[in-house]
Amino acid sequence: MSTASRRARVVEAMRGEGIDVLILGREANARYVSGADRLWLAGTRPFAPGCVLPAVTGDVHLLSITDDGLPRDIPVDHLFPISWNPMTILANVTVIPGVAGARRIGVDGMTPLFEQLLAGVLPDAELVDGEALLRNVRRGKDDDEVDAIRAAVAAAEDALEAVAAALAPGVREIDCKARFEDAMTHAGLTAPAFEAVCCVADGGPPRTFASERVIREGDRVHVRGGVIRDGMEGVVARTLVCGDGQLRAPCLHDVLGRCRAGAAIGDLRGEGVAIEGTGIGHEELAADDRLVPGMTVAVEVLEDGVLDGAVALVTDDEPVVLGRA
Amino acid sequence: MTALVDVPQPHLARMRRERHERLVETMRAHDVEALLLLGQANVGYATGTRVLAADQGRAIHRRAVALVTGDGKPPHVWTWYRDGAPPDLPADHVHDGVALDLDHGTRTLLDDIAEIAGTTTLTVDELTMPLRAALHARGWTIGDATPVVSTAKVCKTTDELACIRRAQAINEAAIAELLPMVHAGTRGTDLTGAFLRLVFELGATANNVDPIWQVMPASIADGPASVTGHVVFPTVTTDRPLTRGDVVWVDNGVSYHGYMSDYGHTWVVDEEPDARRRDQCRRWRDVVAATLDVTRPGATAHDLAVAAEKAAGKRPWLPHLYLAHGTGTESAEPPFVGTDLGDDYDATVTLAPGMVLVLEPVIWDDGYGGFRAEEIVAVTDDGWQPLSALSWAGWG
Repeated sequence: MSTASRRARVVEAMRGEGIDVLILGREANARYVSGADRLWLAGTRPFAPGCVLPAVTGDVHLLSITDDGLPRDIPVDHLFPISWNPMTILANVTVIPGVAGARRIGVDGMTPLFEQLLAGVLPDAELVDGEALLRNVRRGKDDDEVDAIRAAVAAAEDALEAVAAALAPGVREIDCKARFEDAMTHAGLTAPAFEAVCCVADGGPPRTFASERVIREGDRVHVRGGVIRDGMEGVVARTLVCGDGQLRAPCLHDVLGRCRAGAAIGDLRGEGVAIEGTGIGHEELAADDRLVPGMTVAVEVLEDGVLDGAVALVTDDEPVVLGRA
Repeated sequence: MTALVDVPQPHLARMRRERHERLVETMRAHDVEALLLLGQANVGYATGTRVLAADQGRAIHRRAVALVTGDGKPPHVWTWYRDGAPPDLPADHVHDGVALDLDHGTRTLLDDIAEIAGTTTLTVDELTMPLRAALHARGWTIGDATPVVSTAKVCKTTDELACIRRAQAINEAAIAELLPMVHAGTRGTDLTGAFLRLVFELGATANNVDPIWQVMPASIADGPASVTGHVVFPTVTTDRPLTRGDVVWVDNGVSYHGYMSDYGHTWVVDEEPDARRRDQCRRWRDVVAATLDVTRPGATAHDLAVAAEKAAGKRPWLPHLYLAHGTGTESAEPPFVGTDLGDDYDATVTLAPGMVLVLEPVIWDDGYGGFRAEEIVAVTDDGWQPLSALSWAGWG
């Protein structure tokens, strides 16, 4: 989907819910409505206005000192510069056409300071949950978005293959993680979805953080990794065996067969299936949500210490696996 | 550069204990009963909990949440990654992760807090909108945690400084191994791949920013469009190959147990820097020396800015950034020097022992490009000590 048609869909949803302006602080949300490729940073940042979308104009305005990395349909005069003074940022936001008279403003987070300052400059505006609006809009993927996710998954699978090729007795868990991150860049990508998980399965609770532990012949290694490609996330999860050992993979195929339109997320989780939405990143699914055609999900199963996973597109029939798995 | 084996290891359990004591003491001084922290840099500081370093689109939904109580009992943490909770946290203080963009998650968290702390006043750093709505619906009072957390965090303990120093030493060691790759034909993405492999092999616990290898234009007009009319930096790494004579500004940050490094330098591809570039480097080092000359407890951020400006004859830094910033569990945190908050603000920022400064002046001669690097120091009882050790090979 082009960014313009995504934005049109967002604006339509805003009008449906009577939201006059979206003021977004979350980078993935800004990426979704603007198509901007700004500097990748790990972790969370407190809310600050980084992207503004008034329904009345449908134009996106971004906090940026340059148009480098931004789509061509965002003119330079729709950019406002970085400031360490929140009042300066708000002064730049409130002059954007469609902001000053707004009655309902959708935001994707808040801080006590910005709440106070916003009440000062826009005293009549009510703040509502913009994340919930975007979550619903994003849920159904179109063909272009599915293709982008498929391409991201392919890059993640290649990085996982690089780990598999390097896996040998004497290699440390952190060497596997290092190999995954390096291999990601061979596809021209520099933004991981998350740092790779490369941990020996030792019968205890599954671990997340690669350590200096040395991998031995026959060890089973859980590998989970992901990359961001063209604004979409592609993730993989698999168990590799060091050396010649055999392993019986869990019945991922049977599990995927249950991920059909109408299935309740809570029921699937109750049956031991780890399932989450995937797209611009992790996309939240609540227990009472039901799968609908067009959703993309990351599914994982852990059976007898063996982890396996896939990304799938929900359809009216069997889900379509977006990858080679 | 310092050899990694010679860099002292921090005592992590002592660091967590001292940070918690400092935070509780600051809470009491601010009359704060309970802190609820959602910012991952703050949760890491308050509890020592590690989370998976992830793109924000995932990190926000898989964040750990911390509750710190003024009674001085160990903090509570709700996390999706149980093996990231420190071993000294009691088992019943480590809870399953909560989805704070969903009503169910916010309800679970607030029910837990009511039982643990028995309070209806929460001092928070940030809120999701469902959490904000749930607090309003319960009639709880919301305070601002930023002053408390910033005050506690700004002066580092010995072990925090050791973490920063180790993160920086890992970063510098990786760069030293990477330098032989810096030639015409190498792509920015090749450098990123090799850098990430090296830092993880050397023991970095996370990478926190897409490494920057920005080829700088000779003049601002030749570069990407600038909203402010000033030098545009940083921009996102691409797979464009380097060419002979390119001037590359490098900026990257990897961390060690939550503490950030910040490596900045200027490279010239396949050529020795000429006399004019060496002069830019000399002027940059003069600015740093002049700034460090006045760096001691009691000096203000304004004193540092004045010293730098005097050495350069004009304000030698990017106006949308700063002359210097602090670093710790966030890549840029207080104290700030030379931001657009202005001279009056800078005059209120007084240096104290344990504060960290990342000095990042910029020398720019429009038409001939510029020089930028970063040096990190910690304020001591009577001056400062270095936490970085840049190589000046080739720069005279």
